[in-house]
Formats: sequence, C-alpha cells, structure tokens
Amino acid sequence: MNRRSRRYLLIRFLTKEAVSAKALEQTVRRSVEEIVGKFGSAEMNMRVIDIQETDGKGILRCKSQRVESLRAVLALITNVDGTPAAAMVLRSSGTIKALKAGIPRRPRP
Amino acid sequence: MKAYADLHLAPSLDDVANARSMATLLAELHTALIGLAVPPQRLTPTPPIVEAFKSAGIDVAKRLNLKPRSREELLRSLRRFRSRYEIVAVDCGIAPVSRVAVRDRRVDIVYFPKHEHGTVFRGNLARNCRAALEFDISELTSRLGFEGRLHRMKREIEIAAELSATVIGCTGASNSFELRSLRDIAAVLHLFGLPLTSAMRSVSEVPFDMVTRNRLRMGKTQLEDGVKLLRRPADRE
Repeated sequence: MNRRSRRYLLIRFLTKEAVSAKALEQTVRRSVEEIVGKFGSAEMNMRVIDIQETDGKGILRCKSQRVESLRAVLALITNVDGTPAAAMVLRSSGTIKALKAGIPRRPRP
Repeated sequence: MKAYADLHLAPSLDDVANARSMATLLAELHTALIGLAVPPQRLTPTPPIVEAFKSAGIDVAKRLNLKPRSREELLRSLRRFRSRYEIVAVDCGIAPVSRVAVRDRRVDIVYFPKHEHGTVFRGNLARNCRAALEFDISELTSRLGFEGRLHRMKREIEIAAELSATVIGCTGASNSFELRSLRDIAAVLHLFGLPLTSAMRSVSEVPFDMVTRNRLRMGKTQLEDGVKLLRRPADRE
C-alpha cells in the first residue's frame, strides 16, 4: 500500500486579545469550509495537531497536494471570535520532527 | 531560505512602536525588502520608522502612491516625482489614467481598486501592460463584500496569467494584524489561477528586480536601460 503523503505546517496566530486554543482551532476549520467548501475540506484532510495558547503557535497537517490551499485559507483569516487576528505559516515540512527541531532544509540542486 | 519582498506597507510614519512590532514579524517571515508608502511632503527628513525596519535587517524602498484624476495629472506627477522614489504605483480608478499608466515605463505598479466602480484590468490593458499588476491582500481582508472582490481579483489574475502580464503580491498592511506571510500570498495567487512558479516569483524575484533596476536608474551612472556611464572624458588618464 502506498504511504500517504502529508505536509505539516508550523503556524503562528497573532491576536489582539488572548483567545483559547479551541477558538483558534474552530476558526481554522470554519475558514477552511468557507473558502474551499466541504468537498475541498474533505480533500484537504486537515488536522490540527497542536495549538499553544501561550505563544499562539500551532501545527497543522494536510495532504501534500492541498498545502497551497491551506496556506491561502490561513492568509484569509482576519478575526478569531470577533478579535482582530492574523494567521501565518512560519515553516512547512514533511515531518513533525523536522518542524519542531527547526532542522535546516537541504539546499535545492 | 528564500527571501521575500513586500512592496506595499502603509504604517503610520510616526508610530515607531507599531513599526518595530511589524519589523520583528517581517523578519520572522523572511521578508528582506519592503516598499514603504511615503507621501512627497514627508520624504525629507527620512521618517523615523525607516530606522526601525533597517535595524531588523529589512531593506526599505520608498514608494509613491499616485491617485491622479486625469491623464495630465499623472504625467505631471511622474515628471515631478519619478526620480525621487524607488517605486511608483498608480491607482487606476479612471479609464484614461489606466490606459496611460499601464504603458508608461516610469510606472512600476498599477493597481485597480476593487471597492469602487471604475476601470477593471481587461485584456486590452493587459496586452499593453509594462507595469506590474498589484495584488493587495488587504483588499480581501479589510472590508466588507468579500465575494465580490474575490471574484474581481480572480478575474484579474486569470487575465494576467493568460496574457503573461507581471503580477506582484503584497499585503498593504498598516499594522501587524494586517501582515501576512508572502509565501501564503503566493498560495492565494496560485489558488486564483497563477502558476505556482509565477506566483512565487511575484513575491520574490519580480519585486527585488524592480527595486534593483530603479536604484540603478536613480544612480548617476545609469543613463538609459542598458546604457551605463563608465567614465567621463575628464576621468581619462
């Protein structure tokens, strides 16, 4: 059986006021559905791996073929529970380990 | 790591604290160059926020946003200000202005406002377009009427992709909450129909080339495109 190809994104939420991790997660899910629809959402197979309330950083996972769509969806987030907010991808990787460790990329040939 | 350029930032020129927080975030997002909107009356002395960006390792290019009401006003402004700015952007809300702006080589960026009725980036403009078409994500994130603007932007990007017009992506941010990762903006452009390689170029190579070329032109040694002054007769031995 073929191994499913996935992509992990290290994201950062910037919010004007403190918001819960659950609210951040709900915002991402709602935004995915609004922008790419239910069908696109199912194709993307996005999962929230972890969101830290303290520094607003989190890890998302999606199918590698849909990573551009997820990036676009995150760029269009403007508020979380009515609080002005922004979400931005700091780094993307094929493994969580590389994402957490900050392992430098191999230079492209 | 790839470096990105955001050629449209419009923070308050006196709010240094805001500029510092933006600079920190931009550095984290690998942004190496920004275009700072500075009106002509604030050009000298250099606004205090420029130093805040430079201390974070970000190169700052001065940008002029022109919103002329006629063709004559546009030409007059270009004659007067072109040599003082690294980037000149023109708001193409009026048809005669847009027809001149897309063709004039002194214009770097053309921008078609989505929130008001006016001209749109059509095929006839795209075919003659020498300037880069600006895609400003703040247009999508800061006002109401999301679907309408999304439709117009998607249409513009499709036309630009079809006719190989140059596109640049930027944030148009005035504070940290309006900032986005330039790589994510490339993803939005790709979702709108621009090939991924062109989308990536629109936030990296294209803006860097634009500023480098204009800085060369502003220098005394560049006489014309492709013509560089090596030495004057008096310098001969």
